[in-house]
Amino acid sequence: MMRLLRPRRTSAAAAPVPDAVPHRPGERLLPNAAIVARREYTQRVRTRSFLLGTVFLMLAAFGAALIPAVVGIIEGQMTTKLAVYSAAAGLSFDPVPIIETSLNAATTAGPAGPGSSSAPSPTATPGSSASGSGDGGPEFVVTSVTALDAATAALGDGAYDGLIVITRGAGGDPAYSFVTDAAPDGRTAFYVRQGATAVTLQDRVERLGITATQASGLFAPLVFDVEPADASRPAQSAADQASRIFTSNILVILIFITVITYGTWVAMSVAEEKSSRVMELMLSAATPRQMLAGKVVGTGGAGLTQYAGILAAGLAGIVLQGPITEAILGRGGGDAPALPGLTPEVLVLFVAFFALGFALYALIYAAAGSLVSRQEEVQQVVTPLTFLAMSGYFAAIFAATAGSSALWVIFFSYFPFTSPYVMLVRMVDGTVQPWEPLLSLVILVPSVLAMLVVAARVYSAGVLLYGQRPTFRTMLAAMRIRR
Amino acid sequence: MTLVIDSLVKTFGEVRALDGVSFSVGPGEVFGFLGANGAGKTTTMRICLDVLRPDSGTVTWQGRSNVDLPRRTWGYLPEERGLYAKMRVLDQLVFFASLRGVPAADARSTALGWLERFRIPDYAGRRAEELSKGNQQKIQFIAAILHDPDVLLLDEPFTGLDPVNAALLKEAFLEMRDEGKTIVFSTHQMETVEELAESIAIVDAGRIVVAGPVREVRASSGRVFVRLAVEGDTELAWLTGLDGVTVTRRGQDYAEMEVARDRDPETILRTALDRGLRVTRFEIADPTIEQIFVERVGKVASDERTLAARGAAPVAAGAGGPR
Repeated sequence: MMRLLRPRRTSAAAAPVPDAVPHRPGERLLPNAAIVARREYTQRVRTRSFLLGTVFLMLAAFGAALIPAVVGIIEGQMTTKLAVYSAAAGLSFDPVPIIETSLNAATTAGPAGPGSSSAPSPTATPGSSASGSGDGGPEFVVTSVTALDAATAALGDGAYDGLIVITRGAGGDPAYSFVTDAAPDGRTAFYVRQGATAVTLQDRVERLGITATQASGLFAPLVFDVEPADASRPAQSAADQASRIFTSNILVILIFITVITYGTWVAMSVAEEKSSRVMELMLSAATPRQMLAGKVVGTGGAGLTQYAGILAAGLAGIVLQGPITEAILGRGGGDAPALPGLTPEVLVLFVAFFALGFALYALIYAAAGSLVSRQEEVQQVVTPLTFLAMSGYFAAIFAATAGSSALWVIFFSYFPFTSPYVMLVRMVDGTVQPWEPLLSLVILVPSVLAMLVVAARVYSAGVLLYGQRPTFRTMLAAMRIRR
Repeated sequence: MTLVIDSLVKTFGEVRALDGVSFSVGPGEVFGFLGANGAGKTTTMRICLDVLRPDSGTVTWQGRSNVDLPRRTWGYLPEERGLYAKMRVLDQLVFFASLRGVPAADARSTALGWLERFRIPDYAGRRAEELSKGNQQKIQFIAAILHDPDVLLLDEPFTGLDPVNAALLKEAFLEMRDEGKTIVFSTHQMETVEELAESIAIVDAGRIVVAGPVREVRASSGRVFVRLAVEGDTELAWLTGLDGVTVTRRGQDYAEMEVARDRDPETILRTALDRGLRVTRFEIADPTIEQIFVERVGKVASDERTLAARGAAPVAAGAGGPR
């Protein structure tokens, strides 16, 4: 019928002439799919590359999990020694405790940006927040010196990291000169400046003759509340939001890496069967659907095994952070970082999305693998699929920053190829109704089954093609065959 | 008749790989399937296995269409040998058998028995890639029979084997026959056909050119051959002078000649004795399968046809795959 409507293609001789392995409706997926999956799994986990790769990744995960402890140990052992010379300033109080407290309190509270203008309280008593450093010892040690020449010489010898010289300036306020090798706009200079501000304020308070009570009233904290615009949605701090984006990025990257790594394994495995001609025997023993389903499940299982190992190593690292820091520094380490938004429900749904999303993509990889004749050609057909997987990844990354309520984000959180990524982002964000991820899964499951049928059709034709270049047209021609 | 192949037609693009192939194989019969490369042997076997569907025509086994038959009906030794290179021999034998529903324990013990018989019991735990070609072929044979199929389709089972291994495999082959299995095998080795096959079919360019019991096929040509050897003379120059005798082979061991239909072959023996020669061999015979094959197919012509077909057909299914 189509012939009548369309002009006949002139390049008919060059066009692929595919045939296909027939589908036999009576044959069920099981038990053959399970047998294929078992072979695929055991063969995969026995390969040297799998073992070495898993061990390497486990070590890497363990090491990465220990990084906070290592950083803590290094920071804990690094103290900045500062000297203060204040003889010429004529201060009525000792500036050293104020500076030291101010420095250590500021660094413990986290790096406040230079834009922050909150003045440190001059009434802060020395020692009140000296133990505020969760990492143990103070980062800054400030000592008072009486001989300027000796101190300058000691600075040159490296005994001090910086020398603060306080004099009485023209306007009556103290004047400071910070002699150091550190960067003038660096972190240390910034904190020293804050310490100096505290000393100046204290000096001004004394000179004005304000009593301690008046001073504490002057610098008392004010009442300042931020109310959410939409009372139904929980307010999230900027830090919390950033952490949630971080969490969803991690989950999305996990899926993305799984798809491209283990998807390529599936494609390689199909191409290997074809190039070793073991396919001839397999086709007489199992149907394309059985083989495809088995391959995806078996390889995915091997991938999950690798993940479980990596996760275990990472968790071990996190658990061991405290004891290791304690053993080296003799005191407790910081708390393990928690991933906000990673509730048990999200984790369970993550596993479901992870498995189904992988299956959906892996089936395409398997079909692509069937189109090449040799394993070396696998990369050619896999590259475009990497872009496909990447588009879902980017959709999720943009969704994480765009916010979950954008219409396109909602659409992609139901669309099968992107839903494993994007719905995760929305779930971590905490703004979805409970039924939404379930609906997304309900759409995803039949999509995977439909993909199995489509991929099996391509595969049925692909495995019989030898010596043809794998093109999109070949794939389409292969799919058109009706059996 | 149990295995009936009826009017199979299969076209790959412009190339007609099968053009009405029909033959039937009796129960427990050993059937030789002959043809040049690309003649359609592998395509026919793939259609039997339901790996390919014909454009038209049917395959039935004991009255049931092959489309409805369980896969374990067939045991297949593909021409393109292939095993999982990295997989241990015993593991893959068990794997292939379990895909056809054989319990793993049964498959394991049967497979070990066969490895023993083929004198390679130590290879059970080796990976397939470590084995020689001949030994891989034995594994492939075991894979074809492990699930106890009714019909064996063996594509070139004896190609590329040394005499010892060929004898081992032939022994196993005959044992299968004695167990009552129906065997269809293809080969290029004509002696093997005469040795093993009860019936044959010769296929050329997708058509059956001759088929039937081996004896009938040989007799049906109507040609008569004489094989003659005499002591001390391998030239036998005097044969050329005989009327109605065409020498077809002049070997160190014996000479062979075709005798015209209206001539009595015994005149040759008489002439030799008259010349006072001591005759060590005199044999009147039908043409060999090889002679019939060459006569019907025409070796050179068919090879040219094969090359042409391969050039035109990018799909390798009909030609067994260009290397």
